[in-house]
Amino acid sequence: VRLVAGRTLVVALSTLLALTGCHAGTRRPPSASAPPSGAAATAADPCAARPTREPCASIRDGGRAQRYALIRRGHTARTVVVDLGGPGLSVLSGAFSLGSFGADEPGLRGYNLLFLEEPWVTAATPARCDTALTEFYRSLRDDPAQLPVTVVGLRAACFAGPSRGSWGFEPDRYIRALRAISSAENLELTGFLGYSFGDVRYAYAQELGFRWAVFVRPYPLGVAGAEIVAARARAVTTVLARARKLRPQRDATSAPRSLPVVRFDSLSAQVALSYLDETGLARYGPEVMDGTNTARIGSLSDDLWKRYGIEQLSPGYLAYLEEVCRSTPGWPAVRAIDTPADVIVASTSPCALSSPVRQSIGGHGAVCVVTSRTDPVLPAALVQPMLAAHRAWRQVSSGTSEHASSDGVGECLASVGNSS
Amino acid sequence: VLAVALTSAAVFAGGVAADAAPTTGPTIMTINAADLLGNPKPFSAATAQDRADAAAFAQDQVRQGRTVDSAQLRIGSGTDPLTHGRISAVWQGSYQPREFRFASSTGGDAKAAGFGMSMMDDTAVEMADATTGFGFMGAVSTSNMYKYSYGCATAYFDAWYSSTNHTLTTCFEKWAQRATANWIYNRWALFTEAPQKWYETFWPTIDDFTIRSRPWKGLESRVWQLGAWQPTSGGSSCSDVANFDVPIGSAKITVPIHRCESLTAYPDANQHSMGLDWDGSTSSQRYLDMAFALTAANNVVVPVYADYSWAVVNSCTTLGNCTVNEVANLREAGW
Repeated sequence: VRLVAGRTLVVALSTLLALTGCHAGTRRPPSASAPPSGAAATAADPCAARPTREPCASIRDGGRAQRYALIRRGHTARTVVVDLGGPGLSVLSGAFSLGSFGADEPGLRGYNLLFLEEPWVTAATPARCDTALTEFYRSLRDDPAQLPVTVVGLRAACFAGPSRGSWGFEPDRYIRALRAISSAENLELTGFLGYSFGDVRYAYAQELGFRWAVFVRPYPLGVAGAEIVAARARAVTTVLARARKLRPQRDATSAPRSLPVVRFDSLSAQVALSYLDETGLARYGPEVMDGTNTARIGSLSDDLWKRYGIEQLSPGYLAYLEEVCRSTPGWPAVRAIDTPADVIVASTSPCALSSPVRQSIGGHGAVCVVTSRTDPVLPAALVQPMLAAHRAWRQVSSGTSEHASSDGVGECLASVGNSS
Repeated sequence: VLAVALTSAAVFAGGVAADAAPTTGPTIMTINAADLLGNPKPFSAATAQDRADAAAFAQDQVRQGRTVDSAQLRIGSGTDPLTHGRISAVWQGSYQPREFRFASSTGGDAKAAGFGMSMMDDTAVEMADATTGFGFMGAVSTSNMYKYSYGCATAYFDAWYSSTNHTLTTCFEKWAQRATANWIYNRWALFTEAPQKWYETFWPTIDDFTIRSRPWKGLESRVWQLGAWQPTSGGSSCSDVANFDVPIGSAKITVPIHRCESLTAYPDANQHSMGLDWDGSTSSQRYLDMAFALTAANNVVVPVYADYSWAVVNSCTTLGNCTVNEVANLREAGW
């Protein structure tokens, strides 16, 4: 900064030092032992480029880095790949307490746990893609009739050319990453614990020959998008009916917002209620339904759409689109947003232009599935075709509605041979 | 009119190494945030450069799964009184900078620069916090506590040796258990030294990083006692991150902790404060995190804490031919 006039000298001196190796009596260049400083460090160490609260390690796959957290539990090679689902999760962010994950689950004792971070967390968002996301979001809020246009823009700006495959996992990349990590860390990938969308990731990686897999409230592979949307819409209706009957609670939440809370936000907040646990629903349900807390409504809507800044959407939403659109055909389109169901349809509206790849889960290894009839995000009925195709899979039915619940996991782990 | 306090090192004798023989300095200046940054501006009224800093902050947050509305951001910028370089800060909601501290010292070929920032969170009402999103995900860790308020702030400090900036990010989460006086204060901070350009050979290193949290002056009576805390001691490597439970009564939260070597924990049951001091040396960045439980005076009051962060960067004043000994006398300036 204050060396403007000395730039040439700086270059000349550095070069001279490099040529002569003249560091005798001088301080060692950082590269000798410590990680190099600054820009060089960020190129060399993907974990340093964007530090995480959770433990972070990385491997390189071609030009791309894959970051992960490996939680070692004792001296064993036996490892469970844990996929918390998504897409759109920043799994190393510190919100998931990976280090203590499953600590009270006897069926996970004696296993290391491996968590892979979704690519979008470290991918740069091209400016035109950022703009296309904003235009898409604006059309959702202000003029859904424009969605066919903004969706085309979104696909062109974010999913074509070099951005293709930047956001979510691609099946071949996921499997290559697991292979490389297990080789670098001397792991034996024994089991797979997939929450929600995690079963799709298992489908990517199944040829690695896991001895067992547990799917918790899995995403329904082999079911058309229209069916998923319809089932979710029915489930949301049930949640909203419950929310209306709950006793209102005082909630002084407040937060300034760049955008006014409009009908689109109210409808989005109603859909967001289906993701909350019982406590959250009891607390926020009534005020969302009666419209008394606009700050809460705005916040729930923003969380659902991952809006930030003013009208920007998180690249995590691109990961959601990339993997969900690829995994499922037949997503319906929407031209107006008048109901919570329209919001659900709108979330996958950019899928209309994608080319799904048929994926299914094969027959090897012991599999157990936890489902809940009353799960408002992925109700058990949606998974029936998948279960019918795999009669040997064990099933555990959970009485807990919450989609994020771990209820039934212990029973499932035991049923595939992990009771202690 | 700037309310600047220019202080000699003797004032901070408690943290000064006796054997250091600086050629010049140390000079330590404390300046209140309002004087340094002027009136904090909302995003909509900020300059282009300040907006760029705010955008970088929001981008960084979103990749950690936290979406921040620009309307919740405040931005200010000013001039480092010692180096005359630009300094700017971006913060979220009512987690706001209250004071900055700058220090400078030269010893032989070494130059040390110290950067400190203290923050206050005076959130008076519970903040909206939801953790949904369109994705299909599970196993979100459950806790019988809820997040009452949270925030992050980033300050960008001009580095004398490069056109890039040092970056200090500090974050907190205040967890509460409903209908009780139980609270947990979770704090973490990251200091990243300004990267050098490839042709610059000043070998900068971070040689001190400390984070401290204590009840806000005048509001000490809201805290009745300090409970459990983590980490209780350092570990063997900063790249070793482990999760620790911080319990209070029937509640607890679990937090990841970087188990750095050369780390000292400073819980203070009398002051109801907690601090970490890392005294190692690194040439890239340092992450510190801590959490402590506290019991409030009653079930109604909200404890208010002040957060302090302080980092020292040592570097060569001569290109590539440097016998830097750490300029240790900047350690622990203030607080």
